[in-house]
Amino acid sequence: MANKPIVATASLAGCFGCHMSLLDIDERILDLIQLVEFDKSPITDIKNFERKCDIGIIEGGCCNSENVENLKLFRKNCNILVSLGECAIMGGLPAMRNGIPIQECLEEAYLNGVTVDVGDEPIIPNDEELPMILDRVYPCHEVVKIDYHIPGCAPNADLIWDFLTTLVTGKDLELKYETLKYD
Amino acid sequence: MSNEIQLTIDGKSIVAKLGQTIVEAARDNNVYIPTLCDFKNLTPAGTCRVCSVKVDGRVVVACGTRVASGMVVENESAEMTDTRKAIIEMLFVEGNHMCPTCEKSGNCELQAIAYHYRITAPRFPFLFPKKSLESVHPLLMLEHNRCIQCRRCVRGIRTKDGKGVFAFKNRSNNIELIMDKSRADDIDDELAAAAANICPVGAIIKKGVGFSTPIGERTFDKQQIGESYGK
Amino acid sequence: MAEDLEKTIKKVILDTRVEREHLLEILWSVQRSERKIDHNAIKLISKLTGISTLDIEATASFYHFFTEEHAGDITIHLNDSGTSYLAGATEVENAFKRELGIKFGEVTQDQRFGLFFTSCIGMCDQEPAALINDVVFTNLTDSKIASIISQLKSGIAIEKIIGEGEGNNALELIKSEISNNIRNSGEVFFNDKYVKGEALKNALTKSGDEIIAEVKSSGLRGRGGAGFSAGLKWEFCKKNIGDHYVIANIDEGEPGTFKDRILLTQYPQQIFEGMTIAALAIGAERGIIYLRAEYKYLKNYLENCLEEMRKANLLGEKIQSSSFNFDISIKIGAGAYICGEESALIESAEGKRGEPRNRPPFPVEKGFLGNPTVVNNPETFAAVTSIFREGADWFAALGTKESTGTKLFSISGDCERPGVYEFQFGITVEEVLKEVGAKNTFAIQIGGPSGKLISQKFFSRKICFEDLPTGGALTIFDNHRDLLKMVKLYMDFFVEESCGFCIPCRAGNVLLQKTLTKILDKKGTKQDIELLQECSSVMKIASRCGLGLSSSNPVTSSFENFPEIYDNLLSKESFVSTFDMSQAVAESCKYVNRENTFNQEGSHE
Repeated sequence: MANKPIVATASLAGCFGCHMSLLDIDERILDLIQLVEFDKSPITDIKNFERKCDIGIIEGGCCNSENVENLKLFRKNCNILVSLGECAIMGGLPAMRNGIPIQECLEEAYLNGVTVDVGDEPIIPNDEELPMILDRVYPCHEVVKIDYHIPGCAPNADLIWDFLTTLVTGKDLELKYETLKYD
Repeated sequence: MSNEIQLTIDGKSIVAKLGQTIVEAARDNNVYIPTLCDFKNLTPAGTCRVCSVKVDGRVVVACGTRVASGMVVENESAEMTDTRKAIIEMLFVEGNHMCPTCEKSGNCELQAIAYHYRITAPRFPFLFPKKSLESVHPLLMLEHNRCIQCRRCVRGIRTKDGKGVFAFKNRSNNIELIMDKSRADDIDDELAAAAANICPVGAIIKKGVGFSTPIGERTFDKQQIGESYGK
Repeated sequence: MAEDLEKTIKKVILDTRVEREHLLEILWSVQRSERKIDHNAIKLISKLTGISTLDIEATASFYHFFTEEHAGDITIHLNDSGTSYLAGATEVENAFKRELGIKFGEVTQDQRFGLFFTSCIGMCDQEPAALINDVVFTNLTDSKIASIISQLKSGIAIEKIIGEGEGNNALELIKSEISNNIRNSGEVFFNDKYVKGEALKNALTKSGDEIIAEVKSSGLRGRGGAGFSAGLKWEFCKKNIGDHYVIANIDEGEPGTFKDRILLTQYPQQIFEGMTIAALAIGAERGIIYLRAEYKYLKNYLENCLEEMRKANLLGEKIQSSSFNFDISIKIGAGAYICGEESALIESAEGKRGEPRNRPPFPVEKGFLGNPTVVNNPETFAAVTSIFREGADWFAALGTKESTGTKLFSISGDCERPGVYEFQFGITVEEVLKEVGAKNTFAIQIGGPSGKLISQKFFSRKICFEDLPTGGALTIFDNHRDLLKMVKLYMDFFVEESCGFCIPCRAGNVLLQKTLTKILDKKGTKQDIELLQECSSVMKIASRCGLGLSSSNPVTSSFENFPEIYDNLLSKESFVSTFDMSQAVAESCKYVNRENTFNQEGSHE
């Protein structure tokens, strides 16, 4: 048991789609459990790192200060760090706001957007506890060193499976045409 | 047959017609040389450099070089393959290519070549240029974030009276696709569709028809660029 | 206003008759009178010439001196090249900003002054230098700028403000404050042996093939840098059918190069006569001087020289009573380094965007307007004149076996006597350094940014095509200079001047520039070095023209010869983040009115 690699995962500015795709490996998750052990992850609901991990898997890029703090925490606690999916690799959908001034983004989201409930008094949330939004969405590898990139939106479950099993077993990853997609 | 000549590509001997380009001859012989700016019946431009091959030790673009008897072409050597991969990666980082949001995804030739080379992420840092989405016509949008400046539209899209519709303004990394708005009346549904179609990426978008083919059914979902799927 | 503009344009159209080829001239007339070329002007030009607005916009926007927005009644272009920086351009930059109260890239509110940077203007031996409208100002200092701006503000004409120039620069037709700085005498150019018409009269006694044979036997190679045999080029051109053209490439834009300017100022007749001999050899009736816009101050003077040659029957119809007709016209560029590439120059001369063509066909096959064309450096043409005066054997005896004759050198940077020198090919770098009074030389950029940055181990090498080839520009750095900063400035130049046509050059230069900035900021790692190498390699393999093929040279040659300038700045870490939390949250903190307590790393201070 002690020799099993320990895996941690996080979703930063993502939609949890990459985590869903991880679960899409279906019954192979039972095989995966034989191969690895999970630590901090939304899957295990472990909130804090309990030990040094071998592999950290990051979904999503950095759109606010908390994402950055979280990502740095993962880098500190994981030997290998993986960007999983387009958002982690290049910002993805959240990065569509890049180039639009923060004021415009916040006002669209909280004051003027079509989904703002006109019945309430709309405000832009601003509490000490809330993280600060960054000037743009940053890919993970601009903030910390990333060892591997697994593309896709979300990455194909088979690709995630192939990647994790080869990483754990130390074999070379053969990228199959069918599993490599950017969308 | 006097107009047939022999040459070799990666050591394989092939027969080509005199006057053909290396790309054409390779295609006829089922040898894949990736191309982006090359398009049927258009004068070669040489903007994308993806078809760079070594001929007798010199690097040339295969789309703009005619075959010659006894020519020795190096297509898939480690050096040329890595150069092409790097070129594709440069195209990805110099623009803002967000495949998940793109109407052309799955039918995009840039993406298809990146898949072909199994690129997971570019080796170069993203440049994240500030570019815009521009509505230029009742039927057309220009998504400058995705334009790879191949100039297929410049060369291939003409009005009925033979006038060009697209051009490029500025230079260096500020170069930008422009459309002749004064000729808006000459762009009918058919020409608009042709413009969107000639674009290898999702830079010229015909309004109202995005995402018409479901995922799994798109061109490069089913087959890898340059070869039949599963072959 | 619109009527005036229409008149201006119509005058150019009338003057030049053929519209398309003269589009740049039309655009210049608009830029000069309106200080901008906006959409309305483009529509008007289109209406009057029949060229589509699309085409005009594409063309005008390619050139640096044409602006869509008002560039100020008085437009100042300060050279921001490497040599300018060596000479203290930063101080000068600040002086302009202070005196005008605007930043670079801006125009004063009253639109009287516009302040811009420009690439090398060919004054490297008298930097910092700037163009104010078309007038060159050299050896700028803080106090000189204060005086210039205050005089301009008080309404004194630009021409009245300049100092007195040296040599022909003082002539009424030039009237510039420029110095020639010719520092020695030489066998081919820098002497008084030239007698107008002598060489041409000699050539007129020979057939085209005989002329070509003589040029070939002289061993003359092109002086632009590539060193292709001039005789061979002419021979190829002559063989092709069409209306042949001769073009002098005076788009001297390589930073550090200015020797053509001196030839143009002091010896233009020798260039024109050499062109005429070339025309006689290949059967051309029309010659073109493609003059970079930065040298426009020479235009009237050169026109006058041409007129004098016509009067002496050395140009025009039935030259020297023979059946040979040939004349030369001048075309002015509009700010684009790439137009020094011969096929780009031809495109530009045809009034189009200055983008290089695909080759083959080469200009000798399909050049100007699709016709066989010889494009040579003016120094090559001037050398031809001396060959037909003194003989091919005499020329071939000068220099080395493979590099005959003498070469003009543009010397700038850290030395006592910057300027132009004539040396025989085969001179060693060391000997040049001694001649120019360079001390404690640490490095030399040879051949401009597209050349190489060489170290002391090269100093014993011979300058010639068989050893150390160059177009003749040496920018000298002594041991107190920050070389990596120079490399970065050279990359800034290429980012500005790439035509953008092909991807390796369009993105490659930007990637190199960005990575160098990271290294200069002490955030570079070993990975960034690999990135520089991979990027340079792709550019060298796959770019479409000489610019992209050579623009990574500052990086690759500095890395090869001065690895320590990189090593000293590299971080020992395997990764250094470029992310700056404090900066990244600044905008949102400001908007929601929260104190920005983050430091760069992201912890709270």
